[in-house]
This record gives sequence, C-alpha cells and structure tokens, in this order.
Amino acid sequence: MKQLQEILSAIGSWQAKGYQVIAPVRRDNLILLARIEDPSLINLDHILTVNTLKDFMLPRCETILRFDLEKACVEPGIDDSLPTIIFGSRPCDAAALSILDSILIGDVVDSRYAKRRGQTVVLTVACSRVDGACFCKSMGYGPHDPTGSDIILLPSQGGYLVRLISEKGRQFASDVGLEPDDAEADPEPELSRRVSTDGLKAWLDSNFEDPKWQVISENCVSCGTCYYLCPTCHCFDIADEAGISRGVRLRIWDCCSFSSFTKMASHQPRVGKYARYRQRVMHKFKYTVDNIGKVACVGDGRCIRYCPYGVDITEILKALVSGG
Amino acid sequence: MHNETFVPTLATIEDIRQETPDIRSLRIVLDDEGFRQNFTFKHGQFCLISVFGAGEAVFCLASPPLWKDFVEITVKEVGKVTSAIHDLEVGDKVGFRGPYGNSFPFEENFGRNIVFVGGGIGIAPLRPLIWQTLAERHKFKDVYIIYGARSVSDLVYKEDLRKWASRDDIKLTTTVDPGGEDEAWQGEVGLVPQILEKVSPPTDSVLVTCGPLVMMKFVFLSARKLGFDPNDVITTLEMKMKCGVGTCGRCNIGNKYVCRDGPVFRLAEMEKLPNEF
Repeated sequence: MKQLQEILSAIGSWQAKGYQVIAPVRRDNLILLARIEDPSLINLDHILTVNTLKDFMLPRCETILRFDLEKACVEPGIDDSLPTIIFGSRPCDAAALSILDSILIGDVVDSRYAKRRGQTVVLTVACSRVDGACFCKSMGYGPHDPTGSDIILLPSQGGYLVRLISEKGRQFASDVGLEPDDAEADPEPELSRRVSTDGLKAWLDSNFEDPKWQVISENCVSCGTCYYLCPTCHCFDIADEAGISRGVRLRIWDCCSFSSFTKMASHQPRVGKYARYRQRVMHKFKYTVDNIGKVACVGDGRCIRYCPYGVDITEILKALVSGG
Repeated sequence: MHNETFVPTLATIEDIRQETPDIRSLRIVLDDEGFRQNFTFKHGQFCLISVFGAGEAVFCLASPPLWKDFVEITVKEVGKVTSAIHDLEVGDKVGFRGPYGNSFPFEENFGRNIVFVGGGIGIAPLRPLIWQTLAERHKFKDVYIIYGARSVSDLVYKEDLRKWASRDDIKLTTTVDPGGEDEAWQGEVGLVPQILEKVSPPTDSVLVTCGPLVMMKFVFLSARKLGFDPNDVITTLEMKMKCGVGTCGRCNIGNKYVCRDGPVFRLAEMEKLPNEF
C-alpha cells in the first residue's frame, strides 16, 4: 500500500521525464481536469471532475490544417500531442476512452485522436465515494472498474494499492519505478441509483416511432450541456475560418441536439426536438451497440448533475421500457 | 504526402462545364503525381471537395473510374460551399479527400437488364455506372435510361444524352415535368415515376435510381407497383456529412452511416431502416 503523498511526490519526476500531467485541480469552485505544472495543486477531493478526458484526446476545437492560398500551400495543423499522464480521473472516464477508442481507432483511424491516445497513460484513482447521480454499475462498470485504465489506484485503508492493468501501464510503472501491490482493496462504495437495461435494446430496436419520444423529450431545451460534458459523445463539425487568403480548418465539437446538426440545403431529416433527442438515446443505447457491441454510456451521471432542466437519462430509460 | 485523416490533397480545376443555369460540372486533376497515378475508385463512391475558406462538402464522383487522370463532380449552387465552387475558375485549387463509401453492385448484374432512373442532378451518381455498363455493354441484356428534369434547361449532361441517344443498344427516354418543355422538345412530358411506369421495363431487371427525395419515393412506389423485387432496386442517399468516415455522427439513418455503410443502399435494406430521410 502507498500513501497518496508518496505517489504525488513522484509526479515531479514523471514531468522531468518529459510527460505532461493532466490531473484534477480546483478552479473557481469547480474541480476540473487540467494540465498541471505544480503537482501540489492536485485535488482528489472530488467525486468526479466537471470535464472529461475527451477534452484532451479529442479537443473542443483543434486545427486540422492551415492554408495559404497565395502560396498554394495546405499543411496539417501542428501536432501538439505530447507524452501524457492522466492522473486522478475516475474509472468511468477511463471506460469512456475505451469506447471512443473502438469508434475512432477502427477500420478508419482518426489520426489526431490515435496519436494522442498512443502517447497517453491513464492512471485512474478509483472511487471511494459516489453521489446520487452516479450509475456506472448499471452500465456494466463500477467504482473500481479498470476498463480503459492503464494503471488503477484502488483505495485501501486510507492509502492506495497500485494495480497495473495494461501493457502500457506496466511499461510506464517499470520506467518510473511504481511497484504494484497485491493487498485487498476497500469494498466498492454502494450506488443508490440503478437503472435496468433489460429489454432496453429490444425496445429501441422496434420503437423508432413511438409517442413516448415526444413525451420524454419535453423538458429538453437542446442546450447541448449533456453533450459537452459527456465522456463518450464525440460528434464534431469541420469548418473553415479564414481571412482573404490565409486561414485554418477546425474540427469543433458539435451536438445532435442542435437543429443545424443535420440541416442540408435540400432537406432536414430530423425535424423537431423529439427527433433529435431520440437520436441521442438511440445513438448511445442502440446504434453504438449494433456497431461496436458497447453502450455509449458509462453512467458517470454528468448529464444528470448538470442538465439545467433536470432531464434524467436513467428516468428516461425506465420510462421507455415501462409499459403504458 | 501526409497521413492525416481530415487533411485533403490539393487538386486543380482543369475544365468547367455549365450544365444548367445553376449546375456546373468540374473536371479536377489531383496535383500529387504519385497519388494521381495510384488513384482509383468504384462507381457510386463520393469525395469531399474543399474550397479553402468556404469549407468542405460531399460530392459524388460523377465520372467513371475508367476515365483516367481526372475526376468530375457536378455541383448545384445551393449553399455556402457550392456557391464558392461556382465562383471558381479553371486553374483554381481545391482540396480533395476520398474516395469514400461503398459502391454500386456491378459484376453480380452481368446477364441482366439494367434500368437507370435519374431525376435532375440525381443522375450524377449514376453516370459512372452508366458509362461503365456501356463500356462492358455485351455483358448485360437491355439497358434502359429514363432521365427527367423540371424543364429542358434543367437537364444535365446534354452531351452524354446525345451520345446515348445515338446508340441503338440503349433504350433512352428523356422527360421534362409538364410545362418544362420547349418548342423543340421531342422527349416525353411527365414526371419520372409516371414515365417509368409508361416504359414499364421488365421486372426481372435491376433498377438503379437517384433524384430528388420526393421523386425517389414515387419511383420506389412505381417500382413496387410494376413488380420489382426490392433487392433489385438500388439507390444512393444523401445526408449531411462532415467527416466521410463514419465518426462525425450526423449522416446516420438508424444504425447505418450513409458515408460509411452507404451511400448505396438497396430498397430492401432501406425498408428495414427507420423513416428518417
């Protein structure tokens, strides 16, 4: 077993080896994942950070290319990926990366995402507490689940046990002298929120047209908060920003709740808020299952915590499969 | 050459043909010689064309793969990127990404009748397949082309139509919507689905269609009415696309991504998808 202080004090030496470290820090009363210089600022006094790891693997806005028309020059955007340690994110966020990996590093590889992922070691600190919005267990994960982590620290009697999960994690641990532990961890905290997914996929398979879609989407205001804070939502737009002859092409997060998302010159296939909300639910709980065999939800609960109108995905899933 | 997923390669506009008042075809040559020489695609696939500063949009590859050294796209001026394309001149640079998507079945239809049904600019994705079919004409039975537009001036590929009309191994029928004819018009007058029913090709044919959504819906109904098997009715779909590779998340109809699983679908497959197009 190791004391947290012991691990934190090693982080400086990881930075000295050329790794950038992303960890939870307190900013304006929020605990956010951010690149840190000073390891003493790391704050593990959180249930879950507000932002997710997609901020770092699939940034909100990135330059795909730069162009200069006068010079007839087009060049890829600067590759700013660095060897990276993610320290102190939670198991649900690591699990979300495993879902993004299946989607973005598949038959076609998203080169910028794959480059960042390849250089990143995810060192998860498992949860010793949960809150009322957490429902990771219902999605097949859990407060100590190692999915997507390279190394996981499990809470044990006030300290932490190091478990090496992936080959990348073993390599990193051996590089920096982080020894694994085999003692028993504290029991996982209990989750109060549960939602059964029994029958959900079958219901979604056969109820694209159902009056319930109108009802369950009534409170949604299409603000996109759930998208921005979701660790698995990955839809994006590609757009140019340019002066007269020079400019950039950007990849920017985009959200299926926005009516512009699918609007074409010729027609709009998703007319109405309910059709867009249905897309969100179908994408996460049916289409991704059909395509990669996984639900695109890890039960982190951010969409429940931060929705300004109290839209609750677990209540919606229950309402969809319930009779009547 | 780079290997970045979303970075296009440069290409030069070699020729521009004004097809109709608001549609033009562009002949595009890939600048990188190695890429150009190795470039190949299948009929039915699409590409993304960039006008740097305006953005990127999806276009079907409208020339057959057997025409080497260039590709053609046909563009109707409807939005930001298409307007920017209409402002381009011969010699201007564009970005090119592709080819993407699946393609029309071809070899499996050897020995059968083929019926092409196009409406307006919707004949553009069928054009590579039509020319490929004509290049291997002896491998097929009868070839029908039924093509219509709102008016005579809205018919695209007039040069192709002349060539097809002059061949006796193609049953070509052209039509314009009622009121769209002019004094010299010698084709049919009527909506494309009506003309399909009038021509009434044998129902053991393969029917390949593309056109405005409303036309396609009625072509499907007519094909059903005539007795076509929905496995033999093939079309190509359009949805808003940004990435071309199935990850930006917007072109799906149900669990199928039009860019990756399509754009070519059989009516039998479409009937299993949610009605979202």
